[in-house]
Amino acid sequence: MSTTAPVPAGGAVTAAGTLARFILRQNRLRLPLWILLAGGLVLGNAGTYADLFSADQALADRVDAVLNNPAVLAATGPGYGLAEATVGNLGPLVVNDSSSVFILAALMSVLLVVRHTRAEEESGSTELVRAAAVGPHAPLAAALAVAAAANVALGLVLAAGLAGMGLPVAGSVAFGSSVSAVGMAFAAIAGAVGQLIQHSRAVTGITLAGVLGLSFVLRGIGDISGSALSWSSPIGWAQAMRPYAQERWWPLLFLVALAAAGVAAAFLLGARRDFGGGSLRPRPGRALASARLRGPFSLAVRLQRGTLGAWTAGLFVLGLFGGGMVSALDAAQTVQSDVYRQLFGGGGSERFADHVFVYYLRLMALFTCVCAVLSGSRARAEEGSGRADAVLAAAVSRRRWVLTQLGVAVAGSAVVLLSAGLGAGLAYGAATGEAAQVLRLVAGAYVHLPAIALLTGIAFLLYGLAPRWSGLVWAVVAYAFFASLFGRALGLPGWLLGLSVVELSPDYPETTAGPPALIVLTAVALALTVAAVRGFERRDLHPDI
Amino acid sequence: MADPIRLSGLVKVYGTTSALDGLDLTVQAGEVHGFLGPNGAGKTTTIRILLGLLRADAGSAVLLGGDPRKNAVELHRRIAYVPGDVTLWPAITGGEAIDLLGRLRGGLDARRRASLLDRFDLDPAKKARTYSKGNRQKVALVAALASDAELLILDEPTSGLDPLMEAVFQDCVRQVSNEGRTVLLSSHILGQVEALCDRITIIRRGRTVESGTLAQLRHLTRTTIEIDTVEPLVGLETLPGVHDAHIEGTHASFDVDAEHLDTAMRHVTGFRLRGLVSRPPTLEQLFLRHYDQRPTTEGASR
Repeated sequence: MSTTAPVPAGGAVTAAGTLARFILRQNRLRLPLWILLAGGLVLGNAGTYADLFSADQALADRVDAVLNNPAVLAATGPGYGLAEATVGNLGPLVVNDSSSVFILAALMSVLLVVRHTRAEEESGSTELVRAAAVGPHAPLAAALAVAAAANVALGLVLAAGLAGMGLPVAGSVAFGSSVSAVGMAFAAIAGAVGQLIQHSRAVTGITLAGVLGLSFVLRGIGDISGSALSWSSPIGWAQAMRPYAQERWWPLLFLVALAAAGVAAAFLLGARRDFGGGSLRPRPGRALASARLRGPFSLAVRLQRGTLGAWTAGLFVLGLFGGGMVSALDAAQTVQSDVYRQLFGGGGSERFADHVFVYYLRLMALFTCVCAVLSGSRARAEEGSGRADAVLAAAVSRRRWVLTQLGVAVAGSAVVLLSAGLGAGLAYGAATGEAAQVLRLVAGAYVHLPAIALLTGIAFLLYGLAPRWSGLVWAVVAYAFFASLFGRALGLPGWLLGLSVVELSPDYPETTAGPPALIVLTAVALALTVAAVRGFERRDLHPDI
Repeated sequence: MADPIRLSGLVKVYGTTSALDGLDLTVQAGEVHGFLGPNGAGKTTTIRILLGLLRADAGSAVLLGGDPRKNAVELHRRIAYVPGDVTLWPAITGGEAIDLLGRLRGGLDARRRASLLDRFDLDPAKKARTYSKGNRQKVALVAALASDAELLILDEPTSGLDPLMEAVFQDCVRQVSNEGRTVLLSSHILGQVEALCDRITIIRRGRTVESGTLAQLRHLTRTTIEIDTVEPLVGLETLPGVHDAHIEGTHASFDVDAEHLDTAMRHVTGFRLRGLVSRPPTLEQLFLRHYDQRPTTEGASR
């Protein structure tokens, strides 16, 4: 690997090779696990397909179900070559069902780059490194090089694995390289965003929610509507390579160009800023606290208002997109009404729109799950940094403090959900001229609040009882994403699907059944909260967790 | 008036290592109490138990007449705490943090706040992320000193401050003490403890090894003596309680245990004493003796 070769002394990236080896060493478990997870997901699916679709009819049914269901298209891909897929070449189906691997590759890359650039700069360890004979750009170069290596490794695993299963080599290489390129493009974007913004958390949030989330949604809308919107998304470019369906290689150039532009931007921006700084100059703040800042709740709101505001704005925009998308589909639906009627029953356009909204608002709820868990994880950060000590050494009880942290996570999620439902309702209501849609879709978003409170309860139960293991709640979130986004496409049985927290919510507005489920979810969330508070009140506070 | 802090037989075990192993500590009302020990001796663990952040595995802890855990909220209104390693919320200014910490405790004195900011030369309008370690410590100090807490718990509060600020800090603690308030001062800086503390407790490996006034502790230790005599000195090094004797003809220097001082003095006067310099034991010698270390030139910071 050329990136870890010794770099001649005196350059801007002096010692990048040493740093890259150090990053590899720190991630010697994490990166192989990511590659195994992402590669295994695709190869594991592909392995079962030969059995599942050994009969022409099974394959044809499956292809129909994908092509005729916009919800599946939105979650997977445009379905190039699906109509021509044969029992002998299941490649197009495998590729179309594997859109989650782009998200995983991007997640792996963004988290890696932010962890080893802005996060280390923020924590101060880069300062020690930079004081040594290390080029000013070396930490960034090292992180990007390791990200590139990891993405190439993932691409190779995918290409070799798929080809090894007997799929055509050209298509396997096309798919593997498209995943590598998407991962690397997001690594570069994270590197560039990390030069602009001082806080690693904000860098991760903006890159993941703002760029990755938007990319996925844009290509989803583009794929459903068959419009050029897919071309506004890097994931759309990757899927436009059409692996196993008369591969096109030129979209790969788009991705390589995006990665190169991101890397160039990162180095250019990096050269123009001070260590530890961003492009925004710090302004002097208040010498006296405002009267509002007076308790743990106002402190938590103050600390999280920026992040929660960004989530609220982001999900409002996604809600608008969703509302717009469904009203566009409504129009298209008249053309294909027979197909849709068959799929969604005889209720006409109303039922169809509601069906898609159930899917779309569930997606919004999944994003809100991430927001809730991130917000809740602040409790552990406050404790580990010793800042919780300062508050608890004042006249604040343990119970009040932990309920405040939990309350802000749930209340913040409620605001975020509200904005998503409001966005969808406003866009759809404006298109259809029905003001009542606003209320219906806000309610459609809010049916997920008990499930999110339950998830927050799980997060705080872990935190209250075993703070070192509180990160395990991310497994619940990851599973929810996997099951809700891909579970139907993969034909997961209902009980496995139901393990995704957001699947526990009623399917409002498609059905009006569900208040009992809401009551049960709320009760469980409250029970978890009580147990979490008890646990937190009893245990020792740990610095450095 | 009851003792503000009364800890006895405190035990705290982490897995297989024991952080506290039967620690005793009594702080009397109105005193400045020095709490000394090397790194890892258990000072911070003790303080975290006092604050109710940790639960002791055994022993009893009474803080201001209450239970540090059960009565945490009421007790914390009456105390102020400065940790050794101050972390603040990066996006919040020092001034806001001072006000917030004060309000969480039940208010602080605005005039005293302003005067402390001035004396510690701290810009309160800067975001905490831009502060150095010393400045973060000043934020916690101003918040604590501007309160009217009856007990101040200070855990190595000046480790990041320069000597000028150290002097300001000592002034402030004296002022607090003059107001009749109580201070528990955990420290590594022996000069600070010697200058400020009425009584001290020395702990080591989670146990109290010594406690008392500086005078009482000095009583337990050695005085350094240098003498010049007319006649050549003999037999000094074999006297009980005499250590490190260096004799060159009519000049000698030695350390002597307090209980043998009288015998040693009677012995040396037999050689017709011409000059005598006696130095009381420094806290540093006292401190080092409890850690089985010989005083060295670089021992001052240990």
